[in-house]
Amino acid sequence: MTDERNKMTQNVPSDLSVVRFSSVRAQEIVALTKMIENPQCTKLLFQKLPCHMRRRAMSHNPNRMPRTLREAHKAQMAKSGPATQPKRPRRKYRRRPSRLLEEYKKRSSKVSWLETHLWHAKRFHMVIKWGHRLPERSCARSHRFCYRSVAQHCLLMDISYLCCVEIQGPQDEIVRGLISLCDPKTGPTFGASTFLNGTREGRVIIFKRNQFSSGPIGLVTFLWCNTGNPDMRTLWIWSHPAFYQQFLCELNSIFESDSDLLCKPPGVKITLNKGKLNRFRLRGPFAHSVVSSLFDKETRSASSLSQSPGFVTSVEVRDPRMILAQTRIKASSSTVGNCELVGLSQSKLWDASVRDQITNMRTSLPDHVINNRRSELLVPGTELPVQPEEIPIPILIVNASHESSDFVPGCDVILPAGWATAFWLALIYSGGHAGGLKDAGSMNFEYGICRDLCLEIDSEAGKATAVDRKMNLMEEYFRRPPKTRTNFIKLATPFPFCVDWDRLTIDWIGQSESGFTVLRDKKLLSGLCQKNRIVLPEILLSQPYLVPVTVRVKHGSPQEFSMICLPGADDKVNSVINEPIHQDPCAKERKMLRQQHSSLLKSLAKKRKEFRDKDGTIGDFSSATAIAVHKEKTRSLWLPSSCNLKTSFARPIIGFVTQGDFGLSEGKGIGRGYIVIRAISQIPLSLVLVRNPGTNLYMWAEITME
Amino acid sequence: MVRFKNRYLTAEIIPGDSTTQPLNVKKYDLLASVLDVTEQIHGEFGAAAIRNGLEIKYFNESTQIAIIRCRHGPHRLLASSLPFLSTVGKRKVQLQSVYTGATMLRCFKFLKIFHEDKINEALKTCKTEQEKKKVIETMSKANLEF
Repeated sequence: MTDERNKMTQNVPSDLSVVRFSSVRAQEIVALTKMIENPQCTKLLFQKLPCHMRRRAMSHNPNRMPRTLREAHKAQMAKSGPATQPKRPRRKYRRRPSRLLEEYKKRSSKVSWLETHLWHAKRFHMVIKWGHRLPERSCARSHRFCYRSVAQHCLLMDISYLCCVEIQGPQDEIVRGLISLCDPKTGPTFGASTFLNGTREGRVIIFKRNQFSSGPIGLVTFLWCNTGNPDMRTLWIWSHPAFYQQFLCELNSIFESDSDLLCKPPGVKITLNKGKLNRFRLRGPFAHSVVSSLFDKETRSASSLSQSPGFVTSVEVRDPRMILAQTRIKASSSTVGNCELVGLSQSKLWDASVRDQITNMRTSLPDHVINNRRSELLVPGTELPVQPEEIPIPILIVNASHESSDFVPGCDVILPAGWATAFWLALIYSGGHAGGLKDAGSMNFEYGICRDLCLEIDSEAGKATAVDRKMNLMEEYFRRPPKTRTNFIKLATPFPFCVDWDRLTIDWIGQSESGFTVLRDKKLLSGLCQKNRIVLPEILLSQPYLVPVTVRVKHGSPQEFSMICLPGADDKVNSVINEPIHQDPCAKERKMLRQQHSSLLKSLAKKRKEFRDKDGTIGDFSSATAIAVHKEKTRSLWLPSSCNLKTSFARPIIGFVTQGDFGLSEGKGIGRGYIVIRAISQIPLSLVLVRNPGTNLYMWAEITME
Repeated sequence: MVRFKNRYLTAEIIPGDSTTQPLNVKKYDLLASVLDVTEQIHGEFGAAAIRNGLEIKYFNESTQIAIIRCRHGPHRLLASSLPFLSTVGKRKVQLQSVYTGATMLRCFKFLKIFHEDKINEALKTCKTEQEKKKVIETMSKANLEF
């Protein structure tokens, strides 16, 4: 004991006080306790689990750990980098029939699919428009083939993307409400007697309520139900999805406010039939014979459909899957149309409950059941006799109406929802050729039909599409290197990507409070078409109206955005006139700007490098803003500046072409476009000059009003 | 893989001569002198056997504690040659080993109890009340830190 004491006193240097000794020791104790409490472990969490709780899968699946340790385990796993993405299953697994359906549902949740989407997706280039995925053009068939289908056979289009609005109520109320939307000068409207009894389909241009001078909303087609007392009638209106929302707003504003004012029991009811009906369009000489293949023998032989334009027939047909032909047959000419009227009766299609029942029946009798029964038939490929579960399906057949001077026979078929694929296949097998959006556009160009599928240039929807097209064309233009871009300033093209109609009307007429509109008044238009031109009143001439015209060129063809110009007083017919090359004042500026910009980029890069070598960071010498500013400036320097269309060019511009191409129906270059109304009196002998964008040659062309 | 087992020898360094100079010993010096002594006692073989895992893991001048790590096996050679260590650098010291542990944690646990005992003994040797009070103060401060 004393030895230890001596040792201890020996341990402590003589001048070291006890306090200092103890304080040091106390600090030591604190430090040691801390180290004991927080041991630094180098093992991973799962190595500390007892062996019987460890699982092989916990290396990649943290849910295999006990709950209390899960978070810590996830944190440790995250330290060795982010988790790898799950492996994409192999192609064969992805394409299993049971998985295909959920794959399709996932894809169609964002953009809506037509019912015949799968058929079209395998044969057409698809495009996303107006919230739908629509077939644009065929993969295998060319433009000429589709033109020939319309001219000689039968072209088939699925236009179920058109939206249907159903209005029910007393006839007078409906007509009164809708009258405010249409301009009676443009033609017969909702209340015209030919359409009221439901035997014909009508088409009308609707405007914003009581604002006929500003642009229209668009062209809609309508159909009254052919039965019903005057107190309870049904009207179907089909509108294009591009202006559907606008149209609905107008309808709601009309019928909501009306029902507020009048305290009668519910007057007019609006239902949206967006997904409940399908519509196919058939155009071409054999259209009726293709459709008649859907009918049974009695209807076919007893009377062919009345082929008067716009006529509506309702037929009840069998399930087309029972009578589908074994191979495709070519359409043949139909029997000559006797004008016998098929008996009109209330089609069951108008009744919502029957429609829903029929839609449900489609899934209750699936394809494979029917195919099994057909395979058990004695003679392969014959029709299946009437099955006990079958219900006849009501369809409506609407004949094509007169839209322009060329009449193309055809019809529309309206079906209940769920049956589109079955009917589509039946029509294809009977000789219809499928077409897409491009074919609808080409029909509008060649013949002027299918106007309800195209948008008006003075409507909001039309202007929006024009802006989109301008963006696309500009992107394409600027993607090319500067040396290969056509210089629109030198070649004197004021509007290479998008026509500014307002500028045109301002140059000719002066500033006006409303923007440009297309003249739709039928009387005035027919007056203009006559050979001996009537003198138009000055009030009319000072309005910013555009008149639709067609220009026909002898050699070559007009293009989109071609300029229609007045020939000079001394110009001999068919002489060669050239636009002189304009000066490009921006060329020097562009060159200077380019040099400045490249030197700026170099200096910024140098500064960045210095900063990085010195500090290790980039600092803020980023060139992103400089690049963006430069891009804007160069783009504006490449585009032609706004100029007076009457005076800046060799011949004054009176209008532009909106659709220009080689017209296959006429065999020469055709352009459909618009000119200002004021310039009509100055056109000598219906001859004008047409100049394509990016060229300086003026072509002589004949002009006709539509 | 076979495990490398270590032994951690905790030793107190007792200065041989009672000079007032603080113990100015470096880790490197201590290591060199330990190797020297082992070579003296157990020859080249001893020194080589120890050399692989030899390291001074912990050295505190104020409390004069050192923890020397060695591989398990040769640690007996080291332990047997430590009492013969007489000089480190230029000072005369004596190494008194107080504990041998298989992990650092065990050594720290032992050291904590060791220091606490030392403080208690220091309390007993306090001659004045004032000193006693100060000692108790420092101890309570240390406890409060937890």
